[in-house]
Amino acid sequence: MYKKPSAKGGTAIRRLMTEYKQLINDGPDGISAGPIDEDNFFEWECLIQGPEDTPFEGGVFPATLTFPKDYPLSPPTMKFTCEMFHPNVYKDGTVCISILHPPGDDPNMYESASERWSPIQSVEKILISVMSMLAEPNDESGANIDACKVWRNDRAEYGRIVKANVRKTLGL
Amino acid sequence: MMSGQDSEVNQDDTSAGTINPSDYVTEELDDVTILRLTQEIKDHEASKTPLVGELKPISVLLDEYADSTFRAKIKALGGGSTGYRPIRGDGNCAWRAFAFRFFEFAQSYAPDQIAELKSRIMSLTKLLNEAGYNENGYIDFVEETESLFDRLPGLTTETLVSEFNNMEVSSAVIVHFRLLAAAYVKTHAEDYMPFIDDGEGTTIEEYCNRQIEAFAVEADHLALSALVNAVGVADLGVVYMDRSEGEDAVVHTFEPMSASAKERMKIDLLYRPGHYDIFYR
Repeated sequence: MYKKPSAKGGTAIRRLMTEYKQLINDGPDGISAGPIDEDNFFEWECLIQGPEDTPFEGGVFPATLTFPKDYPLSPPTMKFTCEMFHPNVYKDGTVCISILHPPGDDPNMYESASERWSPIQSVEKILISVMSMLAEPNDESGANIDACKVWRNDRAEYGRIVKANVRKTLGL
Repeated sequence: MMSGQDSEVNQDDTSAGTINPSDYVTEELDDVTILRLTQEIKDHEASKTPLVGELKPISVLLDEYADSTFRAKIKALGGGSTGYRPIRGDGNCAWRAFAFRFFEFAQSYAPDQIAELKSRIMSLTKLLNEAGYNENGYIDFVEETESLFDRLPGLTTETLVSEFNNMEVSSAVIVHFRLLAAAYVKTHAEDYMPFIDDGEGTTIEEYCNRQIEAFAVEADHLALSALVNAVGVADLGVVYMDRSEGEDAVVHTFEPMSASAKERMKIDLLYRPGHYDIFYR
């Protein structure tokens, strides 16, 4: 009997549910993520703790992940919903790192060695990359030019701005 | 597009009177938008042709070429062929062409042969584990291939074409085959490293990430060799229809290093610069 192939978007939802379960049961420290509304698996909210020994330490940074219907063939987009002063985060909060782009899709000319999106990557790997991006900005692929300048030329000022944002995210 | 960025970052803020790119760059299309729009145009163009098309006589290609080298080669091919099957040019064409032809052969097999082939391909999941892939990352693709094998005895060539024109089915099989090829490279590093070593320190992991695992990145020679070795039940002939000298197209054959099947499928692809279709002898 000829059986109709699976419905559109089914793979994406199945995969997102698996990843959600995995993150709940065995997610990395300092990260939590999941759908905003369990009726819509394509919009997630996540919280990332600022890495220790960086100006981001002590902060908890909220962001959204928006998944395409063909996830995981294509990557999600990630956007911080708090104030974020960082060389690799656009002023509107959009995160710009290599793992969020497949090879060939090169808006910021990432180093050739940097890890790219492929269907074997995961939300967990993205969030871990974002954590290490907070600790170590990549000034070769700047998204926020002002943050790039300050980070390069005045590290003390960079620290002050970031710490002020940390206090804001904590409601202080 | 972003070439001005480095100098811009280094520019002194107090340089009044000079043009500061950030003053107007934000008013224009940003690079992300330009990339997105370019991709949308490409996707739109690609979507005009099916993922897997109908079998056509090779002479149809003559209408596409005025160049005498190409025409001579097409005519020479015509002698020994039954035709070609066009595949959408979306960066996955070699993978999709191989996967379709693989299942087209399989579809013509007796049920017990199909079962044997299925267990051979499913047994390769251990290769994915050896390569260090997380099961959550590959399981959906592997299951889609498995389910296609289960439907196969009930399919005809025509319904197999519809299966492969279903984006979800087609994409899953492609990702599965890509991962098998990448896993083969990772677990046979000593064989492949000499070809990956570009003097810039590219690692096996980086090569696989960028050239094989990523969806819609075109297969290179190494990827095809790894695919043939991983699958192990098919020889792949690539007929090169390019501007090189001679009236006959050059054929490069990939054979699995350790073939598990006594009789192997003969998959042929027709290569024209930048694109693969399926070739039928």
